[in-house]
Amino acid sequence: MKTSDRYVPPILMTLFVAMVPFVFRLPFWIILWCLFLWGYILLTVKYAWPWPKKQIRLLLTLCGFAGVLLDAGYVFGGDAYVGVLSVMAGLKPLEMRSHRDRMITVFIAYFIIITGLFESESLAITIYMFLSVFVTTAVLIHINHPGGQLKAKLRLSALIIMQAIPLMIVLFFLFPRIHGSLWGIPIQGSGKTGFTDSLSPGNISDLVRSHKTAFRAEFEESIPERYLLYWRGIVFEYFDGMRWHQGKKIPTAAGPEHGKGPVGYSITLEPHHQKWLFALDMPLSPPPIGRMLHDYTLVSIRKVRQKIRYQLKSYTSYNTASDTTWKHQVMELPDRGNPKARELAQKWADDTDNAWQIIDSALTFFRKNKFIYTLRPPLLRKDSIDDFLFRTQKGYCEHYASAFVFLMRAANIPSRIVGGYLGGQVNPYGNYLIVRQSDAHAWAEVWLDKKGWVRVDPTSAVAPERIESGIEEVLSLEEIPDFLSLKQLGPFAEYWKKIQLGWDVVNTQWDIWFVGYSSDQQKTLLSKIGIKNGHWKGPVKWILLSVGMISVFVFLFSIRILKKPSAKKDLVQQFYNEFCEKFARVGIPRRPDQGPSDYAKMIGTLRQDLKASVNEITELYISLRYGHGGEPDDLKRFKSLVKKIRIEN
Amino acid sequence: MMKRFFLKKFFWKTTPSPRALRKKIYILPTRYGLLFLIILVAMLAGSANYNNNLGFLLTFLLGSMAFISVLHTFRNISGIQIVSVRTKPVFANQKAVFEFIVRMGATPQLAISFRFPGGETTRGDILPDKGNSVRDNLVSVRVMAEQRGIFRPGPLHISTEYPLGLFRSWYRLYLDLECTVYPRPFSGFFDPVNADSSAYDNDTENEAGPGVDDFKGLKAYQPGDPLQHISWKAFSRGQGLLTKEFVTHSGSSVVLDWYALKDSDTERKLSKLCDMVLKANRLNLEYELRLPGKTIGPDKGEAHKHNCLKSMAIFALPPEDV
Repeated sequence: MKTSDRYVPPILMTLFVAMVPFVFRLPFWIILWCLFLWGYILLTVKYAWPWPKKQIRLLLTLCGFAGVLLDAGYVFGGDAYVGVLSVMAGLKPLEMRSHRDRMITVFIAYFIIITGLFESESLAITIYMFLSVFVTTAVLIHINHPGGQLKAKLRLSALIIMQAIPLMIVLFFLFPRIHGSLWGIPIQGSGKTGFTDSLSPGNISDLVRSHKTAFRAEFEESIPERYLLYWRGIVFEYFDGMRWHQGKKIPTAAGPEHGKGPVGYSITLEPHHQKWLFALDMPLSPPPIGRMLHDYTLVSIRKVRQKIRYQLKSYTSYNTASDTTWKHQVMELPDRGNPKARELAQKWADDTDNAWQIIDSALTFFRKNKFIYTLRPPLLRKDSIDDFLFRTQKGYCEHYASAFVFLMRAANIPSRIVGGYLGGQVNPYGNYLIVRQSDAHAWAEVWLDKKGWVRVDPTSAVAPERIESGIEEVLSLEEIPDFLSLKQLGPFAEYWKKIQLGWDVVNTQWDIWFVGYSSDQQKTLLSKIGIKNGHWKGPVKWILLSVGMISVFVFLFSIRILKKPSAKKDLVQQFYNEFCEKFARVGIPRRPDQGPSDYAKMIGTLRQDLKASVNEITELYISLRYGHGGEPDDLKRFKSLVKKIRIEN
Repeated sequence: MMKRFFLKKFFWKTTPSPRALRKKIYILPTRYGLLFLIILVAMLAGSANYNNNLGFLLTFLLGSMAFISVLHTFRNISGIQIVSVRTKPVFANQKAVFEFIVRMGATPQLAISFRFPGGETTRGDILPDKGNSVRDNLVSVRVMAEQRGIFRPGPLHISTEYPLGLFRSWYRLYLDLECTVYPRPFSGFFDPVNADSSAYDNDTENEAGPGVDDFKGLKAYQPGDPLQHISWKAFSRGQGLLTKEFVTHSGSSVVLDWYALKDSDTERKLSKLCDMVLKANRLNLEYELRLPGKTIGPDKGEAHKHNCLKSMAIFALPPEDV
């Protein structure tokens, strides 16, 4: 193997390690592309094949970039960026003959590492980032020092990282952060799960198949009863015959005026690239980052593009009778369509004026007619409400909610659909709830005089277990999406669940304290240590603090790193020097060219009286210095002999 | 003071104390360091744009590591001790080789580059001395010696980019180094038949030449013995390297005379004389070198050869260059 070839396997390894976090996101051909090129390079090195010529490399480069462009389809977003980097990572090792090429390849590896971080900011990725930096830095050291031992390079890489960590922490907390973004964030295409601003049958049952976390809710006191855990997200007020839409948005300042038992909690919301914020039914007031609409839903001022955390208070039982902003929207139905449902509702309305009785009739209708709760309802034809109520009779929560609200409006009771989540998994290690996409739910609200909006969940008539224990209990086994089939793991399922919950606690703390750190938190932190932004002293103090802390660390490391060799204590040498000095004082100095035994001989001829002890000291010195350390007591004996020797003139 | 050393053989020159040598150490980013800085700025901008805290963390980690590496680079170069140096005379247009024995400071010093201005770079590690062998940390630094005379290579550049290659730390050592550069031999004139008669202005009864030398016996090989005198027969018998010794008949001495050469150019004359000296030495002749104002010999052997060559090296040079 030539010298320049010795770099190839480590560099390939560091590229591979750096690419692992997003390897599954890459198009399949790029993975093949990298594997093929790297394999070819390894074989080239092993069998000393000629390296590919410049023209071939150029052609490959063009092909690679063309492939990425075709994949990206003119939209140069995150995927295309990752693709270009990966294509380069595959190609670049083809030209690693010079130091320059190798350095650039390692820099590309660093760039790939940071790209991986934009996938996720979880604790696992953070730990993996340090591992990648460790490997890449070791390879960088290798490039700059091709000889030398692998172990020493790994150790040095780890050492430099360790020494950099304090500085990194100072910079992380004190480096000025900006609000918002520098040049905007390209819109990511598909792959995001969450609610959309319209509801049609099938929307929510799609969501339920995802096990992704929607948000976490940490309560100040105990977690409320399960049947109260309705997480309000969007309200659908307008029906066009096919879909439900949000309707007009009218901002309001505050939630229901009357209510009982406000519970305090904070929500850590995963980014969903929309504006809605989730809150327990009914929130009292909007958080600082958002505002409240007339339907008591919360919307963020900016789209939620990163994890955010906000604190709320909610009434679990409430009265909104004083609210009048809604009236014009929640009675409307399309002029035509679904005649059978209208007829049924009209009949109930004719029988009684009592709204409660009409509601009860509707719920009884669901219960009596053996409606089935299923994730895979049959397709609905035209007049979907009629088709569902009288033909298929199989559906998911959104089917029941939309049919119920339709019936209510047909019976002249103001009503609307609320979309959100129901329940959540209690994490016993952290006293918080994990609410997942699979907890997505839709229910209804009806307006009753003197009470205001009252929550009615028609799903409870069909599948009461859904409310009481969650989705896993309701669906039959073959309907359960893969992720839910923990039951099949048997006895290990419990352990697995516990591990997951424990890990979730750690990650949540990580999210709160690390991922959530932003310019606002920085302001809070700085003001806590007495640095206020408004005053001119603030920035000065800020800079002084940063520079000061950095200087302290640099100073500490400088002493450690640059300490002189003489600082090292060498007791053997020290005592021997003492011995020599004693004789120098009486006029027998050791000449620079004299070895210890020559010196002893010289003393021996000049001072016959001390010959024996001088010889003993010299022998001990030689064995301690040049031998293998000698007996354990030798150093002690050496010391005492040197101290004891008395020389009179 | 050993101001200069004309070397009949290798010998070591001791250098001043290492403390005195650790003067001005410079440290600056390499072009890769600058590129890395640009990359860090790009990373920082990306992290700020996406408000990605992990991106910030990585950027600050890499930045801090680059910063820390300055200290490592500095430590890696400081404290190198040059224990001694030696060199061998060379002919003009050859590379002068300076061999240094170096010793590390507090820790092993890795990937250190040594270079004279205009010379080749030698890269090596300075590790703990393992035993008594002086070869432990021997660094040979080559530089082209173009002209005859006393070659002074200028300051020794010691530099390193270890460990990350982002910063380069260096200093210059003004060592009082010299190497004797003999004239470049110019061959083709040592033919007894065609030679200028005065070049063999001899008072010998017998013609001097390789054919007439008598074989005297074998002696142990010494570096510098002519290769064609090695007794390969003895070597193949496993007796080691032995050199055949010849004696020239007494009084058979040649004179290599400056004035006898019909050439107007001083340098070419010296080149020719140089070649003659080498050939005479190879043939183990006794010879005398006559230069304007100086006569060396008659004598024979390596010491005599070097003496002659050195005289030619510094011939007619201004005294300040000698």
